[in-house]
Amino acid sequence: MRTSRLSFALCALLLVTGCGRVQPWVKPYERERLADPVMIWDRDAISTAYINHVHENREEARGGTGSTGGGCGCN
Amino acid sequence: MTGAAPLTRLLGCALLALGAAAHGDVLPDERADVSWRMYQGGGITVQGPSMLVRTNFSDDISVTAGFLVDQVTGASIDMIVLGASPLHEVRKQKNLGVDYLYGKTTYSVGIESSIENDYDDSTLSASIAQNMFGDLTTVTLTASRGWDIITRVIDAEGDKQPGFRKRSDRTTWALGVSQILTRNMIGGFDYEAITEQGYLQNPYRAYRYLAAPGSAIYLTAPEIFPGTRTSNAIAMRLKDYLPWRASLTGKYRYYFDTWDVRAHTAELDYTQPLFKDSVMADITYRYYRQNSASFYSDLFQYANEFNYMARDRELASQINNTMGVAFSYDFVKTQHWFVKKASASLHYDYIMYRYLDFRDATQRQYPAGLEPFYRYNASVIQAVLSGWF
Repeated sequence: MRTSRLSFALCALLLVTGCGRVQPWVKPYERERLADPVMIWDRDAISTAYINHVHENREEARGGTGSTGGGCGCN
Repeated sequence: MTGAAPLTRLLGCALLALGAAAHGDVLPDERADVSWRMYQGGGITVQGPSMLVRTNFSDDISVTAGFLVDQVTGASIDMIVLGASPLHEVRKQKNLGVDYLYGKTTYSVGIESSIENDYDDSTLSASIAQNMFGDLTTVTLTASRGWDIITRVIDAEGDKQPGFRKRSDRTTWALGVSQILTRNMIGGFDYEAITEQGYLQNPYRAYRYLAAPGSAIYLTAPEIFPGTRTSNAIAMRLKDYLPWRASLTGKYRYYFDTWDVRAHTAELDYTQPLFKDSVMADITYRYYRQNSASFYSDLFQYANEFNYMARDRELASQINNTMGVAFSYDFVKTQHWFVKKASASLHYDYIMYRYLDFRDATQRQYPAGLEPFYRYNASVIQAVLSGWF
């Protein structure tokens, strides 16, 4: 019940903010540094996917890394 | 499965919100990556090539395709303890994805298949990503479903155990938010819930128990796992642009599941351009800590002591440290024939696995339960060639 209320409150917030006009506090012309290659989250996606696979097959924790999929290769 | 209904409602409401506004945006860059990578540690070597290509068919449709091969050789501590033959197996994975861009919304679907001689996995996924608030925020919702088939190889020729064919399936819900915070800082939040049911254990693993009360000798028996698991991961990340043109990234993830495993992952990355920007250097440190699962024990007192019994080291308490370094060199910087840019990168990660309640049972000179705790180090090397078109 508590989870349902929380979901509803979050949905309401998303709906309200999704329809509203929020003024960006960082203007497009102020994003020069953010566009620099040093600020890319994941420059080598193929490499990040592999190191995540290595960790997930040897540790119990998984998820929260933005990747999906399975396979084992874990003996 | 108890968390699935609220999550479904949340996804439905969020989709309504995401569809509220749409303007113009662009698809990701067209690029191709080819890599060769190797993992070596704990008696096992895994190596092979991989490839990932993204191409755009129009201003609003982009397709990705990839494949990889893992050649696995060697014998891990679990295999040595049980006297199993060294491994010589191959895993092949293929994936295909389509992105459709409509205004500021990207709809994606993907399929992935991974095949080994004793483990087949198929995964379907769908996601929706929305840029909003003047492109300050990107919200991504992902749902995926996976189906695994597990068999058991019984000899070096690859023959399978007759009648042994198990299934498990997996449902994943993920919410990701990427946010511009200031002119110098971006942040991210990820939540992922995974529910699994079916055969969730490794068919080759065994638990060990004392041959008799007070005995120094142990015997082994096949593990017994629960048939369901629900896991949750909550992650946050921040990336800051430093005054001398470099960046510092901090990440933290908290994980918990219905097998009573709790895990903390913290990571720090530093990125620095070198040699007039032709080389990009990355240094990474990762800390990982988990406690053991509720039905895990290194040594049980007798056979069938509990309903569920496991001795998988993946379920044991452990503290792992990873140090990584990567260099990326741009060898084509301007348009050359059809290539806009090309780079070569080399990644090296050194991982130290330290188990806190998993003992090295190969050390037969010690009485059962008094062996030193198992520990090993692993190296991961990746060489990547990337081209943008």
